[in-house]
Amino acid sequence: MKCKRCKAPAVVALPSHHAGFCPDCYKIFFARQVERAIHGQRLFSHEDRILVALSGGKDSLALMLELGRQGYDVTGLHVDLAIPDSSAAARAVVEGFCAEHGFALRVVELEREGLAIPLVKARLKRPICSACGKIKRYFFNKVALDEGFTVLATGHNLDDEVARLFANTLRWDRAYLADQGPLLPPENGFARKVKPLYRLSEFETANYAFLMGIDYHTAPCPYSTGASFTGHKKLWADLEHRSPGQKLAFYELFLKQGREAFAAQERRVGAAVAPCPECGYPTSAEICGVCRVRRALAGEGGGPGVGGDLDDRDD
Amino acid sequence: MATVPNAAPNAVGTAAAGRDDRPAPPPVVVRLQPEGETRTFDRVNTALQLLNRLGLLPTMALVIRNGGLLTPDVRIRPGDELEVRRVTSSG
Repeated sequence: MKCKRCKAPAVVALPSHHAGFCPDCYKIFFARQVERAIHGQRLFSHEDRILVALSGGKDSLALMLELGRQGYDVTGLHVDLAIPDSSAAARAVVEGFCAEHGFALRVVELEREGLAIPLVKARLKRPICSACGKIKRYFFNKVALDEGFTVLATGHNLDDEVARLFANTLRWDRAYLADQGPLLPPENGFARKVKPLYRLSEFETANYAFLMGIDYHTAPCPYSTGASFTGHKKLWADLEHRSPGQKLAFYELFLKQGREAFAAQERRVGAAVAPCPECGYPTSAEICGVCRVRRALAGEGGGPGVGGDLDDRDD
Repeated sequence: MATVPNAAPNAVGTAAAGRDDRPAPPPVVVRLQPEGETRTFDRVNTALQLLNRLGLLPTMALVIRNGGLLTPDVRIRPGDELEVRRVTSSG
């Protein structure tokens, strides 16, 4: 196979683009997909201060590196979950990556916040993943607002977004369908949130990470029974294999033709969001999910219910 | 890490070796990531065929040889040492 651009031997084949690329041209392809997402969806500009959530996985590190290469003002944020035999390795990867590339990095230590995930897990009466995600998003938003960042960026890729859209569609979840997309504007106490990798698949991000020499964290979370939406991703992998390009079309056509219908209805009848009386974080419940976790850890009431409200948009 | 021999025997390799005394070609050794498992295959023609034998679609994994990426059409040689790195995050 030859590179579509320069005819050198290809190292990456992309059926969805009917193309193969050599290493140098693949990096150009990747950069242009990110640029197209940023400009096409008006995600941010070079004037913005961008906080990038870094888990240590390939997607978030690839996003950080590419935004840095494109000259954006980026700072990393890592949330250390304090999970034994896992969190230290992920943090070391993030710290090593930022040191190597000269990126500024903030680290939130959940142990210092009194919210170490093993403690929360021991107290919860339901799977930990939902609460863990909620706590991470809480601190992403808090650091972004407290420290004056104008944009919060995450490494969600096309496969993540399509799997989530598919799950939300199977449930006709109006609130989440109204909110799903690569740009969530700043409102109701939430920072502006963006997903610049939404046009790129997990495979495409993995190839970029390899070609850029990114050393990323691969070990699964010991508390996870499997990635979110793994079954949906497999279904979509089969669909995409039979009909290359279908994933991106499904997602982009939803943005263009479907989302506004749900957003309009949500504006009419959706739950109101107000600041949590304990911490000020926006929530549609009486108090926010993180404060409910804190109360449970302090021994107040039973195990917290952390789902069902809208105190985090679009996880 | 565990080494698992290829489940499908190479009928051509063993039978032919017995008839004409030619030694069987060295197997292809594949390290699967992130599991860390190693598997061997007696004969694999292309990267695509290898992925098929592993039950993977071409966009589910990177195929790496000597530090470089392989597209699905690239021929695999006897004795090659490969890494197949699944791209789907697992939690």
